[in-house]
Amino acid sequence: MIFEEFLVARLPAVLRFAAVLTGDRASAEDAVQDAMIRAHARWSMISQLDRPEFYVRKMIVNEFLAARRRTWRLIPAGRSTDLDDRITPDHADGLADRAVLIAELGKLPPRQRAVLVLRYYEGLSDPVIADLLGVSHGAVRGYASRALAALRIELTQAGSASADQMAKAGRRSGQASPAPVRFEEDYHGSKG
Amino acid sequence: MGPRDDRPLRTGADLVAAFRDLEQRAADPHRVLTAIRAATSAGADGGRRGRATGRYPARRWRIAGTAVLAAAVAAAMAIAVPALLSAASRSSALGNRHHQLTPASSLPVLHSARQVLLMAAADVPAEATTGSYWHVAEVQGDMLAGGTKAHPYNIVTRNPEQMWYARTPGHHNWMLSSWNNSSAQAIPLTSADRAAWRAAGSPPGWFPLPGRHRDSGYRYTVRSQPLQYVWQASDGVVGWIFGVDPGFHADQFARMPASYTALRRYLFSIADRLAKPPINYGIPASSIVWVEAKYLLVDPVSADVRATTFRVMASLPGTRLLGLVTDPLGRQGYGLAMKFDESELIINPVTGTMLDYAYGVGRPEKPNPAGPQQQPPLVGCGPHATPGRRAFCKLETYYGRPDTWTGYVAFTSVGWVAALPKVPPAVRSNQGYVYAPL
Repeated sequence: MIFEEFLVARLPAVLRFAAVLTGDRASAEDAVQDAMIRAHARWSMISQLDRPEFYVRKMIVNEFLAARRRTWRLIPAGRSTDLDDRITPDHADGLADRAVLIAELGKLPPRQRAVLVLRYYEGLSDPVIADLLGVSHGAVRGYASRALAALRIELTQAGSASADQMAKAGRRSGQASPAPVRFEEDYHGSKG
Repeated sequence: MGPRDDRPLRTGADLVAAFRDLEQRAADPHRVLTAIRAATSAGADGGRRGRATGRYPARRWRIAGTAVLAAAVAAAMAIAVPALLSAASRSSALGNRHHQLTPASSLPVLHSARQVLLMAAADVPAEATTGSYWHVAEVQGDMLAGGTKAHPYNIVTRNPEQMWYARTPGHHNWMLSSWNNSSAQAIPLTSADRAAWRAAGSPPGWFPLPGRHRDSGYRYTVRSQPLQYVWQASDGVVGWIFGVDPGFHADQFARMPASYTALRRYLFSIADRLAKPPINYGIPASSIVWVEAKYLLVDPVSADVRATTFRVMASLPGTRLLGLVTDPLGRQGYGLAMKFDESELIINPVTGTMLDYAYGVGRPEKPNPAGPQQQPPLVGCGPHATPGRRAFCKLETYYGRPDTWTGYVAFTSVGWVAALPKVPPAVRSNQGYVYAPL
């Protein structure tokens, strides 16, 4: 698959993923742009992978985590720093709780948020998430449970089956990416 | 974690619903696609920050031997039309050699996008089809929110830019632009914004909030930036059609069919490919044709083809008339929008020209009743003041905010020219550049 084909075919889905991950269109666009440009530079290697999209998503996650770290450093404590707060709609009372939930998602530590998105939006399994984030399997479970507790979310059944279902439900019909599969073992992680 | 037990318990479905809401914040794929293509075709490896959302695929420009990724830059200034600006008819004498624009104080009253486009089709001026350089002069800008809590206002960046694309491969393309790595000019958008800026102490410039522009040294300044010429070796490409990646040579544009049926079929053949699997752009082919046609309006095609392009646009479903609008250069025209295209055009039907186009106006289906002026600025003139200097104000961009225009490209002159302009000596010496021989 040449880069251009990949770009055209997968960009909308990647942009949606980035939007869910970052909660902010501008940050998402930045992260995707940067990741894609870096992916282009290394495309000969990435295109050899079975699922280049996962690699690109890993780059986006890294970009997100790095950007958040930068943001946290740069903005003085005590200021309203959260990107989500800026664009959380303040109009509709009917959507109030969802807006609150989205705002609370934005206040989660970046890794916790990333785990939630990878688990329940992307439908990835914990070992894959651990691999992607470069943390242990147990740490992924820890991030997830802390995030769920912080958001006061109670799942009817824990585990990847419900995660899969939620992830499928969470995607737009017709544009869902294929069912989650394992990352290839041979990619080299890390942001460039 | 915390004891905020007053909050309701939530379920997985709530989380999924929140994710679905967040999906709506995904950026417009074709704008991002253009940006990525621009950056990657320029060979930019580090990736320029800022928004590479311009029309021109980035190409490698040189300043006398030093590679400058200037098109990522041309691109870095995004685009959008101020349909939301007042419709007051400030006419402007910004004429030019090719599309001579008469002061448009008396545009006819038209009631549909179709009428505007058909009238423009009838009025396309005859223009030269010979010449050594395809010349495009434009002003690009982004709208940004600056100011303080007490004195909020909007500013707009201004980057005047001219490109000369050589007809003959191997000759040099030239670009005259104020773009540089460290700063851009910006001014208060309207007279009200100007007043608020004065009330805020007339700060000399603005710096972006962290996280948005990562090269933190970037500044926007009230004073204009010096222009500089840069060049690139031409590969013969003189223009682009959306969906056709490499761009076209002059002879390819010369072969563009002028018959309505043939041109329409041609544009749809490109659009259909993009609209269907495996590419599957997610918007109807007719909306893609609109975007292609928009490009074609400032490409080196004959007057006949340009007229036919207007007629093809008039035939498309989903167009909308936004009414009389005044562009950022004070020229009046009719604003047009197309379903699924997050941009707007300003057409002057009397001169048969596209004056501007704008990006980032959000989905026309859900206009924001508050309008862009109502967006509150986020922060004020900050702690970055240095002794003896007035503080720059912090700046927030409108990128990503729905239903606001974020930038524009205003075309002032488009056409074939016989020769390059004489490079002003002052520009030459100011910049200290040596010019490579043509």
